[in-house]
Amino acid sequence: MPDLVARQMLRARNGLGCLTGANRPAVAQTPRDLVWKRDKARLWRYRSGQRRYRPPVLIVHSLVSKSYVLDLLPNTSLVRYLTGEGFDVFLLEWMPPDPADAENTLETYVDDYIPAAIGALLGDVGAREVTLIGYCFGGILTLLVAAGHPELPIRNMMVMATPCDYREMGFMSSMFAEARLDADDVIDQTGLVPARALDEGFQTLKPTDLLVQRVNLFENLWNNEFVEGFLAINQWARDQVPFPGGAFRQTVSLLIRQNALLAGVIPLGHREARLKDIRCPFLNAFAEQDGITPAASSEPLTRLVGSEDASELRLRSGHIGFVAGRQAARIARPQIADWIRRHSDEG
Amino acid sequence: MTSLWRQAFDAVERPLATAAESWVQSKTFMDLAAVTIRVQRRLRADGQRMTEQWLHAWGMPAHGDLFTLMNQVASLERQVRDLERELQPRNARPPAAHLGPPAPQPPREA
Repeated sequence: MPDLVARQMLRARNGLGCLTGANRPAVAQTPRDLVWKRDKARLWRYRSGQRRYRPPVLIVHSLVSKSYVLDLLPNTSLVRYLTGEGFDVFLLEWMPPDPADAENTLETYVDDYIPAAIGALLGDVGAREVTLIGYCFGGILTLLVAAGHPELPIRNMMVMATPCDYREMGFMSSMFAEARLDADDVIDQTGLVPARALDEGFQTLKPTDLLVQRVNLFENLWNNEFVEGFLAINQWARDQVPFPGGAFRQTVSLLIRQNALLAGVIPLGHREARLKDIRCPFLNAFAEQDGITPAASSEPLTRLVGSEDASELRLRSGHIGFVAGRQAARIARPQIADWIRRHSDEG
Repeated sequence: MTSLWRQAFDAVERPLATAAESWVQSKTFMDLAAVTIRVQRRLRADGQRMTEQWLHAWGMPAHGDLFTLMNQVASLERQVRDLERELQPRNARPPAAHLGPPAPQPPREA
């Protein structure tokens, strides 16, 4: 730890940097190549000279945030870690939607974008199967894809911080579950749920959080590593994206009001997706202190899928404990890599 | 070692945070928040309608006209996307070899 004078100097320098925005950290640094795109969907493949395991790993990102949380900083990047462990890592991300995407429904992602991206991935690497990972709302999309498309060659599946029981989702869910608000009360004239509405909703969950974060920053302002990590996470947390109105209406009616994921049967287009039809090895990873997707909401998924090999990874951290912080480095990332390795082939 | 000022802050913040978090989960807060959101939306819409009428009376475009245009362009973009899908060769789906064994066929009639 630096001495008092050096610490005050660092504090002053970092403080000025924060105020002027000069020390904004560079995120998403892992080199990658665009493999496929359609509308706002982008499929990236991370460069690696040491791909040792098959099948390739496809991470499907959430619709409510930006995907750079998975590649936040070089020392906390989940994709960099997995790539370094010898996996062939792909990321399916969604560019922020605009009015042309306002009518996108869950089926748009489940029946169109994700199967097409899997097809492009398999074609790109000449693989026959894929390990599918979904993060947050991306987990819901992957569950629906796996349940609704048994023909897709999904060898293994993992969901991280993925909601299931919407009764446990707290304030934001209760506002819609008990009909205080309808979906159209928050959808704007462009047909999207504005990013600001989502940000305000998340902030309301922990009213004093913003103040505590500022105090934490002030206390650790001398610590370059802390400041860099703080700014990166804070930048991501405030960097919400709009949500397509069509998918939001379904989220309210199917997932929140009918709690269809907990029922295990989700109406999808003209059919029903049944979680019991997911028979591949399954890992349900969730965090005990997650304020956005509480553990109680994620927990039931493990018993709802039809896999004989279904297990859970419980972390003692918050929503981003999979990707940042000590829990991510010591527990989450190694255990995730170990699970995928045990369900993959070498060579 | 935690500094004194931080201990003092925590001593005040923690009970406050607990109280605030249970308050936002209460039915009273949620009812109030819902009413606020609906009233805000209503007021905004009314204000916008009045402004639009006034601007239109002077032959000027309003904010709402911009949204109408944006939504029309978005609708066109969606139609172009649909056309693209129809014209696209069926190579975006996983090739048949990747899709596992074919579904069982009914026996052929003799």
